[in-house]
Amino acid sequence: MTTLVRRGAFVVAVVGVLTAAGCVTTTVQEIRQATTGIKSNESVVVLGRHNASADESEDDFINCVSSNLSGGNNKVGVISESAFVDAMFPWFEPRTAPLNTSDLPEIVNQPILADKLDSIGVRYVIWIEGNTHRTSQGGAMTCSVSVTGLGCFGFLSWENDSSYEASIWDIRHATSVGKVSSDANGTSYVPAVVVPIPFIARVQTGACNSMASQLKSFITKES
Amino acid sequence: MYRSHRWRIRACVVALCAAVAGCIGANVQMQGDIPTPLVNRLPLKIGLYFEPALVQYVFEEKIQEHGDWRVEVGQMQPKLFQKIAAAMFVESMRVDSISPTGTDLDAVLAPSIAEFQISIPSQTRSDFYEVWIKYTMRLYDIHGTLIAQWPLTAYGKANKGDFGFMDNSDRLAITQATLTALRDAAAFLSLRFGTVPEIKTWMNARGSATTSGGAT
Repeated sequence: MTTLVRRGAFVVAVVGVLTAAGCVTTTVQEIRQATTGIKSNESVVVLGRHNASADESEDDFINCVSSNLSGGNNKVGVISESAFVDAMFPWFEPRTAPLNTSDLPEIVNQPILADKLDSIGVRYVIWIEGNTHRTSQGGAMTCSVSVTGLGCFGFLSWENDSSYEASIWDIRHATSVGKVSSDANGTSYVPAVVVPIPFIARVQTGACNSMASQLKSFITKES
Repeated sequence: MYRSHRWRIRACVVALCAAVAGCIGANVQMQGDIPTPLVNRLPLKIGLYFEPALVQYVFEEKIQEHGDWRVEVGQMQPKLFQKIAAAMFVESMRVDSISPTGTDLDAVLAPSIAEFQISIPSQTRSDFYEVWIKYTMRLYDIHGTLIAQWPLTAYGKANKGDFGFMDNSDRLAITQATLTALRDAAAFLSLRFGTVPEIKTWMNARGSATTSGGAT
């Protein structure tokens, strides 16, 4: 029994060390085009580009950035993508959404739309493009079932790469105020000797956390 | 004892095959809602005529190696167009013919589905389920004379990555793509109605172009 507990503790320790080692590298860059700042009654919305030519982002990445912006230190008010798009229907649909800030005056100059923007309090629209994809994979694993049980043997590894760019628009002034990009990559491993033990590099989460942190700083810093 | 184990393994294999077979294809009964379009109302009283073929429209296709796909989209059409019309026009009502009597309507709008197509990721080798709906829109005067006829093409897609590996992911993804296409139809109808040349001419002739269509 004591031996089993020791072995269990050893496995947990090894998993902890390997997980703690990270395996995710993240790079964040920022371009500022104008001063920013946000009042307590103002909010931001994070939108994914869904038009045909866009490098469409995953819903869970958009949700992750929104969630991180609305929590922790320096949190900002966030309205969800679906609530904003529904409130502004049909002006932010995949094929009708403004592609450039030059398209914004058509929206913000219409009283019916300006009133709606005022009522929901959105100050910044953050457009996100990019995604996470697998760049390489290797190894092999075999699992077999027999009357004595189930077992797997082998080793799998794969590398994921995330690349996202956020364009921040000040919708009140119909201008672009800057861009934040977040790139991350990491390798995941699954060694298996009877039981597969996955060591997953959370690449997309790393890119999300870095981007949200930088966006918070970018928006709240009045410079 | 050994025979009992083999029997269990066979049963598991049969159950697994049945589960996998159940995953192929999708049967979708479209439900849901679209938001009210935020557009300026046109000074028109419009009747809405829904032909039986529209209300009963069902898309069916057998995709080789990917099963039977069925999307019941007709029952949602009246709800969709009534909601759009209520936001686009000062008055709108459902009528039972293209030349209704006993009303003070200005015109009757009659949508129909000319074509419905879907594609799934394994067909296009992409990450997306896609839906195209091609409507033929017709606007009649109250005597049933055609004022304008124009195509309204709608497109929607859904990323397979957003639906995981659940056994109903095909159904959920096609539902999402269809709903996006219906929103697209609503968006383009509400924004572009007043820009259709024949409608623009007709509205100018009757002096109702003071408010310049859904999109200002």
